[in-house]
Amino acid sequence: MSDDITAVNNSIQQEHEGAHLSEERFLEFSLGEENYAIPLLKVKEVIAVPKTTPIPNTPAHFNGIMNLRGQVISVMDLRKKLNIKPQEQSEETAVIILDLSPVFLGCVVDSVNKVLSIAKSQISEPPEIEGHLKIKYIDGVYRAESKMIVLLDIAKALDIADLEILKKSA
Amino acid sequence: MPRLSLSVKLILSFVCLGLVPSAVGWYFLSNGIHSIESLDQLKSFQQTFSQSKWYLIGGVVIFFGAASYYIRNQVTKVVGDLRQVRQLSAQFVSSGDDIKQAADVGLSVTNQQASFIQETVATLNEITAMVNRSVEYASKSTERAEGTHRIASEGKGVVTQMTSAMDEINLSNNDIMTQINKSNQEISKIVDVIHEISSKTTVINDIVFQTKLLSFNASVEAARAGEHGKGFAVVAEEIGNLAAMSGQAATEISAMLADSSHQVEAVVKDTSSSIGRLIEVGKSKVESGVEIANRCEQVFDEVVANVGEVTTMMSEISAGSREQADGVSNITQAMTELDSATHENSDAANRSMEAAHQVAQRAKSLESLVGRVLARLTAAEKVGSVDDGFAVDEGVVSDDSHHSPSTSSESQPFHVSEHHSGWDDEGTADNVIPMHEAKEDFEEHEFESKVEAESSAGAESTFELKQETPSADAFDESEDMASEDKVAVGSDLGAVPAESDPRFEDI
Repeated sequence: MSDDITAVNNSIQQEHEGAHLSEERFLEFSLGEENYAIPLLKVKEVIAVPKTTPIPNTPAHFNGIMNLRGQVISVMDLRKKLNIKPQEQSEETAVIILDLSPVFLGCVVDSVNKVLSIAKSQISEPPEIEGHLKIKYIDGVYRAESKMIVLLDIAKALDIADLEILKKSA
Repeated sequence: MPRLSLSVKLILSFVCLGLVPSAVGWYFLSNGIHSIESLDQLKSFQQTFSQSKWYLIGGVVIFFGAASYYIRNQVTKVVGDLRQVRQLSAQFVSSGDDIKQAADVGLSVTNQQASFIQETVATLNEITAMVNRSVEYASKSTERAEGTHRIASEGKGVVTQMTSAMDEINLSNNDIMTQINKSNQEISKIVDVIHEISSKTTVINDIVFQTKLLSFNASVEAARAGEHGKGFAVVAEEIGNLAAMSGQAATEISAMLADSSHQVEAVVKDTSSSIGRLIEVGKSKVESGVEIANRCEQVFDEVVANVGEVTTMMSEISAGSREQADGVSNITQAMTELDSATHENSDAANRSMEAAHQVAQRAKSLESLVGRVLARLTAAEKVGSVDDGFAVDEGVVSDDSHHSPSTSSESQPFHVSEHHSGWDDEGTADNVIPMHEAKEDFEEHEFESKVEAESSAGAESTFELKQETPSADAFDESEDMASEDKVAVGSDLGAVPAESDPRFEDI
């Protein structure tokens, strides 16, 4: 335990010393078998899957609305939105509350893994993919040790209809 | 006798004719003698005597003539009777031969009977031995059957015990099954406990999840704090790491618990199924064993019943064999008595055969004697028919001696006695002459002698006959010697005087 505390203290010291470095923090999560990440500053908070109230005549990826400490927030299943097959059994399914000022959006993910500190040098530009589908919501790709992590811009991923629903619910 | 009445009358008439002149003469003579008182009287007596002498002589002559006529008449009748006697004697001889043959046949049959009876007795002795062996074996078999019955009864008891033991095994198998079911229930409780622990680890996982979420939120707050929140961000990150470690550990524990639970369940399942199978197999084996034991018991019941019947039957056989042995011994005894009776019968047959031989021989002797007497009398009759009666009587004696010396009045009695003595001599070898028979024989000879005496008036020959007739001592001797040689009688038949015997030739 003391070793851990020592390690934490050392890390804090290094953070303070390397603050000048151009690093950015991301929250890594899983959708299906793949890992994705969003900027940490876009996250308001992370909660377990709450009880949602479905709203009729909404797209299938909208689960409904929830009550977060008196504030009504729309909840969307990001896996359905991005056409990703969800993990079969995940006990760590969580909801990431995004701060899409002026509204908040809850996104259901398979699991929230960890907080990443990524230097800009480690971020690659998104690949040019031939076809008519524009992949505007991919900011870049972070090359980890053995796998690739896609850095998402959730706001760009949402449609106008989604935003209208958000506005209505807000 | 009515037959002699006519001759008696004749004789009496002759005697009267002879005696009347004799008596007249004798009267005068006696009167003359009694009245002799003087010479004149003597002279008158002489005169009277000379007159009555002729009366006397004539009476005597008439008397003897009448007597000789009577005697000749009698002799003629006797000769006729004797001829009948000779015929009867010949018949008697043939009858004696028949009797002899019948006695021979009887003797041989009796001997065959005796040999058959002896064979029967020998066979009966063998049967007795066999029956005794049967009795012995029957009693042994009875003992064995009783022993088998006892053993079978013991076997039946043992099988009953085995059946009860099988039932107990079945019960204990059921106990084992219930005990194993209990154990399985206990192990199932352990599995429940493991499941409980596993559910507790779920709680831990929840806490770990919440802690991780909290660490992320802390990181978010630290990031919003900008430069001031960097240290807190590290703390939050480490808390997240610890939470992740806790989650990993909880996951490992959960996996281990699940593994344990699976293993225990598998063990319980395997144990339950395998032991249940074993118990089922044991149960079926025990049931088949019980069934076999029951059948065994039934078989033993039948065996016991059958052996009981066999024992009863063997007892009956044993009793029957004993009765059989008694019956056979009774038969043997009866056959032994029959054998002795047959021996006595054989002896009697021997004796009857001897007697038949003697009868035949004596019939022949009688025939010869009658023949001789007849010849003699016939000769006398012939002589008597030529001469007067008195001369005939004398001529019989004298002429016999002239015609055949062997049949003379002197030699005949001697010959007879010699014949007797010859019997005595030879009777020791082949003939037994019992006393009464010898006496009869003696009387026959006496009769013959009397006939001769009457015919020849020879008292001397009668005396000689009586003298030379076999004495009582000689009879005893012949009896003794005969009793010694009785056995040789049957086989020595040839010693009987044959027809060619010289003693018969002169008859």
